[in-house]
Amino acid sequence: MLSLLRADKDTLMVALKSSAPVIFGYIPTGFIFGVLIASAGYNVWAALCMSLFIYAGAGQYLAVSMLASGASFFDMAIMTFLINSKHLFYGLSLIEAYKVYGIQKLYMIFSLTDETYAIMTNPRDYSGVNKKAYMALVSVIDHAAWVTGSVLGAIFTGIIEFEPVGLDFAMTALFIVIVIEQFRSYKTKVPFIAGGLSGLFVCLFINKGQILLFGTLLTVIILIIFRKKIEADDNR
Amino acid sequence: MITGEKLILSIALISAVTFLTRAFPFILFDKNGRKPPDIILYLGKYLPPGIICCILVYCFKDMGFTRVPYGGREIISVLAVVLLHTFKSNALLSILGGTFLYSVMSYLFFT
Repeated sequence: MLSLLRADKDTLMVALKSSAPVIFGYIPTGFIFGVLIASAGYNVWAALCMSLFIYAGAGQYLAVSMLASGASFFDMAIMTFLINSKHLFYGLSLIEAYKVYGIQKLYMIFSLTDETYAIMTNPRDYSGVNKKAYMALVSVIDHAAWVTGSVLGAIFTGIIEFEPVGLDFAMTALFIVIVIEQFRSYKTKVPFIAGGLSGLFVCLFINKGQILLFGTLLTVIILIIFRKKIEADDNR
Repeated sequence: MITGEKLILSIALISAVTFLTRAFPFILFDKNGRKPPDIILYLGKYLPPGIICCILVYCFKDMGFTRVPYGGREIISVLAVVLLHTFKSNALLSILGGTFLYSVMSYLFFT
């Protein structure tokens, strides 16, 4: 990650500030993953490798039960694909922004979790900030927080009873803040309504575990149907 | 329980599938010197608010309106975040304020 080495202090501070809510969210949720994998009988190295190389919240929680129950490779591939299928759409918004990266782009794509995606697509003022280094730093900081939480969870399982109560609300708060900021910067409000209603519809009538995949699909369909109106609203 | 070599292969497999789902739009549309199709650029621009509103619904999917505490903690904390951010516009303050409130209410009433 050569671009990181060129980051100035200001850029580092801004990246840390943007990532702070994710750090607060990832350490406890990573911790829970660490507790789960250790309770399933695996050691801290398994926790470390999984968080380092898989790096997916829901995907890793599911992996614990598949590993513990001895699932087949075929089942693992299908289930992992299904639980991560929401990610099929995330990159669409970052194709242009990530063009600046060379080989590091592989890492940027690998580390594109829900939370990192939210920070990357959050409209912000990049004046005085090295955008390329900023985005790389946010990716690395979020990943490091997740790995740290996981390893701590695996180490502390069985040693002490500790439950970080309510700290994961930081991620909900992060998403609320991002929605408010996007609401200010988009003239059209249709995408917000489309996403919110799609999510609610799937939650109430289909399956609340599938909100992200089906909700995103439904949002895509609504956005395509209302394209003329949305672009007209936004260019008024 | 999967152990040994099969454990390593399993972690590698899950990592690869996860990476491929994230790489999918880049593999399809990230061509050098060529712009992605118009509709992809359009979705790329307007999908983030939609997806993040979906994620917000997901964050509250397990909130119980019909049992004690009737989602009280969430409603109060969400209001705090919205008010702080509307009037102060300081992301860190809004997030830490809301989380502190939620965490304190959780400790006081639910542990």
